[in-house]
Amino acid sequence: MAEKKHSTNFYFITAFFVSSVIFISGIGIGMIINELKSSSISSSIEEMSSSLADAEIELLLMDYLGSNLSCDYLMLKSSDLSIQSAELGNKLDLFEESNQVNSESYIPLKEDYMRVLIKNWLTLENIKKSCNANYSTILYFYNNEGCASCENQAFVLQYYKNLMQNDVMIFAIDSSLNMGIIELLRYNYDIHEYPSLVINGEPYPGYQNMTVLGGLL
Amino acid sequence: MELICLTVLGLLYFVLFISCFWLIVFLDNMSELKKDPNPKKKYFISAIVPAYNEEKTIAETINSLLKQNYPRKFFEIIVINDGSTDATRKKCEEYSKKGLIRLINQKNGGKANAMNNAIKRAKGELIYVLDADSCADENSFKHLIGYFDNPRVAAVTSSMRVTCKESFLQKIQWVEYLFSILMRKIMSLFNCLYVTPGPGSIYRKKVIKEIGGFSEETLTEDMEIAFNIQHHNYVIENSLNSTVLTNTPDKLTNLIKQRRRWYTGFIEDSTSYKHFYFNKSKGFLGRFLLPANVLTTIALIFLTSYSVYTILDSFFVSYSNIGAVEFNFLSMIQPEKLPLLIYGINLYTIMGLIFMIVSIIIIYFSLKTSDEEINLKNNFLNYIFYLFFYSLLMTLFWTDSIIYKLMFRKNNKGWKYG
Repeated sequence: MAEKKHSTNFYFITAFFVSSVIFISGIGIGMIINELKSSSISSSIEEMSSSLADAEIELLLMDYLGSNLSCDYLMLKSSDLSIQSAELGNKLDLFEESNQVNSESYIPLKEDYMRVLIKNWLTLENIKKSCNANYSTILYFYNNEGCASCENQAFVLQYYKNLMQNDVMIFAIDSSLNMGIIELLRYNYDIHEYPSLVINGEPYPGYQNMTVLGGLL
Repeated sequence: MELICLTVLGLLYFVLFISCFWLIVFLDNMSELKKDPNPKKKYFISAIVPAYNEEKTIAETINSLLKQNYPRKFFEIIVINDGSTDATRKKCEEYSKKGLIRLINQKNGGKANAMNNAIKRAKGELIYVLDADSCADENSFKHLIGYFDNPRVAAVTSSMRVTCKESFLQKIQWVEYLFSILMRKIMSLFNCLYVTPGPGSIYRKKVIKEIGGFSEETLTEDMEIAFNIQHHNYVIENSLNSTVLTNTPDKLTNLIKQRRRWYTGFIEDSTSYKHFYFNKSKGFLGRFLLPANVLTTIALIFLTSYSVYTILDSFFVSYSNIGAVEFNFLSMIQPEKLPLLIYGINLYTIMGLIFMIVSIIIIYFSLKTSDEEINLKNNFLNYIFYLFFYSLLMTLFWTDSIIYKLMFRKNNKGWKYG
């Protein structure tokens, strides 16, 4: 037999060491990337919170000054908020899809996002009321567990968002999260099944296909 | 952490460990791998060519043996026509009439039977076997015989290369065979080769007789005899310099058929020699390689099936989603999502990248060992096909072989041809 330079045990130990270093480095890089993603999402949530706080103050100012001159500005603001919210939602979706190994780190971020999202909905509803804006607002209640048609509903909503742009503002509410504000909304709109939509304050339980939703908007 | 994640990570670590192990052994011994021992004496070799319906390739096979850079008086060529129904016999008779070969015609009895028959009549101290669809390099004999100066050596295998790389499947097999050349050499350092392939393996006749010749009751006589040699504690060596060119299937049906025979043969032979598993007296082969190969196969099937399931699942979800908007692709436009793809990177993506890098390193060293040029211009597709489709094909072949073994192969009859 051709002679190898070292003993079999030497190769086992070296391979164990090298493969462990590579594997642990892989896990480490994964954790660092996860952390970066998480902190980037956190700062996006903070940014959105301050944009919302600005919008709220602007609404109050408009109310105090009794002027409708700021409406054009606020309408632009509502469009920005909608874009910011969609981008944040996409970041979170991708983060959720990729975060199969450590899903626990995702939940606090998602809860923060839900708070900002609902606040955004409230702000846009207030802007709509104060400025007589004609955009539609949709609260979309979904559940990650046992909701076969939720993804389809999201796709139909995305279709109308792309079609109508700023004429429709969509807020996707994850009902699987155990949050008081979501419970309150569910109770208020009598949401018991998923998906369910609340369009301009009117609840529509169950999956709304493309044709039906087109009619409602 | 979910059980599925832990299983995936555990199996990935195992495969990574095995890959690192072989790579480290290779790198540590790289300078010595190409050295074949110089023979202290001339051995008489009987080159045996079992042939069944090989009219298209037999002449080339015989010519490659006739061109051997080895004294003609020290080797004979025996062609066993195993009841061919085509012009194989006629083609061989042209050579035998000139006294260039000995032709034995027999009723079709299968490859192992043909080889056993030829061995009985062979004069050589060494038996060189060459499938009738393969061609030996002119220096094959020279490179192989030096190993037999060690009386414990019972067989030496050659490096098999693919002649044709035209079709998608042949491109993948071209890389696979180069990888096998590397692996067989490294495995020989641990005396854990458990197959002596039909094209280009050479045996010590005395040992073949001692262990009862080639089994006629197995699908893979070249694997069974290697197990048998290991069972009798002899040594199997490998020469990188002795090369054999062989044909590979170009159609999926033929490839499935070939791999079904190989892998079912492995299942049966390794079951027949199950006492090897975890047996210290069987050295590295029993203690590590066979159990590791079984676990690697399980890992391959599991990881590939899981990846395929994930891809298909997301495909069906996307299909259903697009269907929900009546296949209007406006719903898919989310321009802000593209720069955000970094958020989709996860541990599996990183592990996938690591394995891709390890695979590229292995391909690089396989090419280097075989003195093949990287030649990206001509071979780029071969590498891409191998990297992305090899594990998928292996999973298909293994699954097919396991189903075939469990459901359809009732009697363990030997293989004939085809």
